[in-house]
Amino acid sequence: MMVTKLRLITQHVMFFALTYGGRFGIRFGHSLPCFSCPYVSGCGGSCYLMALQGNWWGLQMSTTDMMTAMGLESLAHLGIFILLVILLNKFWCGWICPFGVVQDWLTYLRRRLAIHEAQFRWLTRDRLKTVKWILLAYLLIVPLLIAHAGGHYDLHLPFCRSICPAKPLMPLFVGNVRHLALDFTNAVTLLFTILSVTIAGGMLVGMFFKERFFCLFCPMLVLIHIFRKISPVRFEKNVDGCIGCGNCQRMCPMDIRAVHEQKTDKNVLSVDCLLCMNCTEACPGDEVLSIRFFKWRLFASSRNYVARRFAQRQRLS
Amino acid sequence: MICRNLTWAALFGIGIFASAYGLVFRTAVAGTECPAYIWIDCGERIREKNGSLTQRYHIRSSGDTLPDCTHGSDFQAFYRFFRRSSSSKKPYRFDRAFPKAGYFQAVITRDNGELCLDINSRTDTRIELYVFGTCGRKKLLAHISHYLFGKASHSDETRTRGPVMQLPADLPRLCLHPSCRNYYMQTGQTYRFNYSGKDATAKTMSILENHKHLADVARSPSGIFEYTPPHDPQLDRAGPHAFKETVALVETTTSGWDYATTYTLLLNRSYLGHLRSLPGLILFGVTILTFVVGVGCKRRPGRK
Repeated sequence: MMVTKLRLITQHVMFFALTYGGRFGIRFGHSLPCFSCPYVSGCGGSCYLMALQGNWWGLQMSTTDMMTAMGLESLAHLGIFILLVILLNKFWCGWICPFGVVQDWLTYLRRRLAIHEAQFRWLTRDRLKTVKWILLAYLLIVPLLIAHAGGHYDLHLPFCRSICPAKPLMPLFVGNVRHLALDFTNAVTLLFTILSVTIAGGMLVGMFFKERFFCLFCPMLVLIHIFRKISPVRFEKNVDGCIGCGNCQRMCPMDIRAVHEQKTDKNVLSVDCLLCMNCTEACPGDEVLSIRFFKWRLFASSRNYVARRFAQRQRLS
Repeated sequence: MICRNLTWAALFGIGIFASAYGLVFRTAVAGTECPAYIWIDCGERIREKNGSLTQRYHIRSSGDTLPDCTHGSDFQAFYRFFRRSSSSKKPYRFDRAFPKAGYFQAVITRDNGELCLDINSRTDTRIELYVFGTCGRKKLLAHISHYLFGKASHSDETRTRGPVMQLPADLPRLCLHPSCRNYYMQTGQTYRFNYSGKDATAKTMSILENHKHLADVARSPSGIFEYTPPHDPQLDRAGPHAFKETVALVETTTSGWDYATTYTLLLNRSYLGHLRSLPGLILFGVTILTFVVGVGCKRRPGRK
């Protein structure tokens, strides 16, 4: 239970630091690789997706601005983002992301209410995988169109303002319902707010019935995954020791089959993996699955750990 | 014959001289004609290589022309910057830009017949700019205050701001109440002005847009002019950074002097004025209900 508890504590500390930290002078900057929503007033740090799309540090910067010191600043923000991604990689998703914590709370609530989790067909799951790439393309292309092809300025921050469910939902934690309002300024703002509210409603239901439902569509996962090969964080599988029990797949909140099915490759960190370590905790093979940081082993599966965990659960029940 | 020719030549010469003199005289007279008021118009913004922002301001007048500042009347411009937030405890990198008291003088130039001035901002600050001049028995004052979002990476040593000076004490000013000094002034928001002139009898403030008189605002018993600019559909369609200029004007006469004081409001569209919570919450509720019913009907039961 040690890893689960440590993860829960880390998640909750980071949730409060990132959601309310700004009120206590905590600022982690604008380059965080997790859904720490800048629309939350008094937040302790901002998701890099907003900076990436924006006109101060992002793709929407005009060519003349790019040639100035602002261009260098935007590169500095990108540099910090890449550094953070390389350093912690998918730990941002499984251990830090505040929106992930909200999803875990909904899952906890569903379990307490004894409602079964909804399951997708594998075909549907495979099709859904492409959505996050489409969203990434959307949030990269629209700002470029605004900056260089005369796109209407009301289309700015396209992902944050029309798709991201964190924008209307996360400000609720500071008592702000303004982002659930419809904006009748013009047709574009109305369309964006209708989309945003509808998607937020749909996602809320999805997150309740399916564990980490939004992570299936999260473009940040894709951005983080790009740097997996140069990251010191490794998720490795000792293929020879695997008995093929399938515990890893059953315990995975993202229903990843790759870890179970991998027969040759040592690194099993897939694009959907959140590094929550549920699979490693559930694996009964000694050192079959292990999480490493450079050469240091952070955690590895073991028969004893599974047995202790099972006994502990028995006692509790 | 020669005499007649000489006479004609002399008359012709006198004629030419008279017309030339008349033209010059008329121009001189036209050049010193006083406009009813002047106001400051925001022009082009240029992002400098070091990231700072140079804003061009045009000095416009109620008439077709403005008296040349080198002939007849003297126009002067003063400005100062304010920190973005008074609560900020950070020491500022460019302290010269923030004199504790007083103003820098800006150089007014003539470009294509228009009086204009350029002001450079290295950080995101609020600028307060005054232009004033005397023309005959008339004192003209224009004022603008808004935010400039400079983001200089380093100080540009070649650009100097000149000595710190004080504004003439007797200038009647239209001061915007501090609570109304937002990053972006918006339509639909109430702006309160205090007229600090010697003449407290100024009863109305005129609102002008593109030289057109829009409204007259009466002074409240507490001495405040309150104006709420209406929403502008054209501005709403134009995008969040588009703005329009609305000029507040107060004219008074005191001790034989005519005073015309203007304040230029740079109005963006309203950011919150068009938000409707109820339809949004209804849509949110209906979506949740629809999805719950949909998932409830279609889902395949799985693990707990």
